[in-house]
Amino acid sequence: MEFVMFFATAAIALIGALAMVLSPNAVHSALFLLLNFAAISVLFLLLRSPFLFAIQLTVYAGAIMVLFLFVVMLLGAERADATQDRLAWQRPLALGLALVLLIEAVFISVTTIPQTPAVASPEAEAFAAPANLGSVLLTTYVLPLQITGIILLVAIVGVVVLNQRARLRHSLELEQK
Amino acid sequence: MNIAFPDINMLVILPLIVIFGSALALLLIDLFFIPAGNKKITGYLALAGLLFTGLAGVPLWGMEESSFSGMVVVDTFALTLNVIFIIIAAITIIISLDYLPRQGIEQGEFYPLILFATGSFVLLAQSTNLILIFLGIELLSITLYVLTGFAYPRLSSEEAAMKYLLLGAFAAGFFVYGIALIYGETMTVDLNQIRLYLTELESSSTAAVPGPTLLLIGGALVLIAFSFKIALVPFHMWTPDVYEGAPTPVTAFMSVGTKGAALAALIRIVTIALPTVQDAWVPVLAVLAAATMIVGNVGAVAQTNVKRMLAYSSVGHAGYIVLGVVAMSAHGIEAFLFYLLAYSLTNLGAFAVIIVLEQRGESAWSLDDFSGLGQRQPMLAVAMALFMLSLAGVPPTAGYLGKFFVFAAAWESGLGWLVLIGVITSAIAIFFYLRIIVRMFMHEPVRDVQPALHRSITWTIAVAAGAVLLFGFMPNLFIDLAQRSVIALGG
Repeated sequence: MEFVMFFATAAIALIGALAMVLSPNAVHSALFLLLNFAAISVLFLLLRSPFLFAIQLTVYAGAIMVLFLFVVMLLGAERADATQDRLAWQRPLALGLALVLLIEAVFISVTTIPQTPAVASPEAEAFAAPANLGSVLLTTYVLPLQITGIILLVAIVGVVVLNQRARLRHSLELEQK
Repeated sequence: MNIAFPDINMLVILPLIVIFGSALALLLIDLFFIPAGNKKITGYLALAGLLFTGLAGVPLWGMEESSFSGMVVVDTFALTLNVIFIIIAAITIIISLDYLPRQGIEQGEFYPLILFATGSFVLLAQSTNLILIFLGIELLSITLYVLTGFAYPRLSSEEAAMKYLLLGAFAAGFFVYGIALIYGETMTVDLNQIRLYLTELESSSTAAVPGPTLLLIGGALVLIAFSFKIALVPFHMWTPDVYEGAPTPVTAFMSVGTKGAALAALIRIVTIALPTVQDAWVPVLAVLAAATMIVGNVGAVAQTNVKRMLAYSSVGHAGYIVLGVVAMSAHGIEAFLFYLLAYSLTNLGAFAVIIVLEQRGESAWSLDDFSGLGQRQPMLAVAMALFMLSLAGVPPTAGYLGKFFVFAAAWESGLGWLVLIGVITSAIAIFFYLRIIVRMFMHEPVRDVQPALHRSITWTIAVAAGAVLLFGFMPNLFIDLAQRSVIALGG
């Protein structure tokens, strides 16, 4: 049963990813990416980590997708330009390389990876539990957590600085008129 | 649920606390207390913050301890680097004091951002954990994206920030993927434990147990990310455009600080975690260094824009500094530290001269501006000539000794071919450095350039020139310090 579930979700994830790349409409691409995210979150559920399932849905499918769609619509960049692709010669090259990579991956997975699926150990089940995640973040990884906070602060300050500059230029242009 | 706290020794991260604390405080002070027309005060306060950070290192001297579950260490290597980073940041702030208002881009946030970037240098010099190193690189990058775009209305600055952001995002992707693969192989992100894993693997190595393939692939990806940050060929494509577009003090800061901090983290990774798999990465890094020296110096020959020429020259110098890392010896680390100090002082001095000559809104930085400078501003021209000679590696300057030390270290480690390439490219480099000196002393002035010589920047140039000469004559002043840091690193 689990096996069937896995293949169904994996297939949906792959289809979503392919359709996202191939779709000429940016909004459609974003929506296919959403499908891909949702399928991957189900994969997390199959791996018995409900917390990561919820995080994947809320953070990626929720917050980040909304941001994507917002930017795409704000820029009015829904349609890809139909102009001549200047890097057209790269396409066959990329397809060839991708094919090589695929063959390699299949070869390695057939020859080396053990055929019996790994059984989830109790440790693995507790691995991504919210309580464990929280305690690890506040003990072992307390310093990285603080540094992350500083990074976010710097990013906010940066946005404010650059935005102020844009407004300054705008007011200068108004004065000149 | 029982939560066990690990041992935490706040002393270990004292310099970090001081510099991030002063950056945070400065953000608030600047917002509420510093009037809009007088942002220089923020700059002076930032200098005070740097001073305190330097003082915070004093009681730690000689200490050798790790804390936060082995994520950060404090040792003489880190503290020596801290001194260099503080000097770099202080010079950057002083040369910005008059530059920013002159270019009409003065904003108080500039100085706290420089402090945040310097904090990330300190963090990189101290971390022994891949996750922390990644966060340090990200903090550094995000700060520099903003600083590069600080002259935002100017198109070249906007373009530079955009290019840097896009390529930096790629590099971050490579880094994370590399860490994931390394974790997949070793089940740890701690550098010491990676070393333990590798020695264990080596002792139990039989035909049935394959080598650490995943770790090597991951290591290669991490190396790519570092190459982006240090600007090693072929990952240097962004460098000329970004260095040209960024405000000149930021270019000066990036060209020395980023390289130093990223290389410090790289040295920690290779000396702590990967000494047992030397055969895998030393040749790769050696080839990167060779390509970097060749492309950087040959590329600089064709430039008539002085700022762009210095950008190419900084690519070339990254190659020379990496020689100290590939040597994988105590002398190599010493050479790295000395070269970093010599190159920082020289390059910051050279950029300070460019700032003096830079007119408002102009983005040409043409060689013509230097024509006849020897007649109009003899002292300035002599200082610039000294910096150029030091960059070219002509005795008796600090740059000459730096080059000598890295070449000697590489030679001792049996990398003779690399030394040969280094010497040949240095000879090529003399051409374009001498061209500026010839322009200054043997040509008539082409156009009128009013040098903006304020007291602070004049003193900075004088001190930098003096230091370049001082370390050229008496390298022992710094070598002792460097030797002690090597002992601390277990080299």
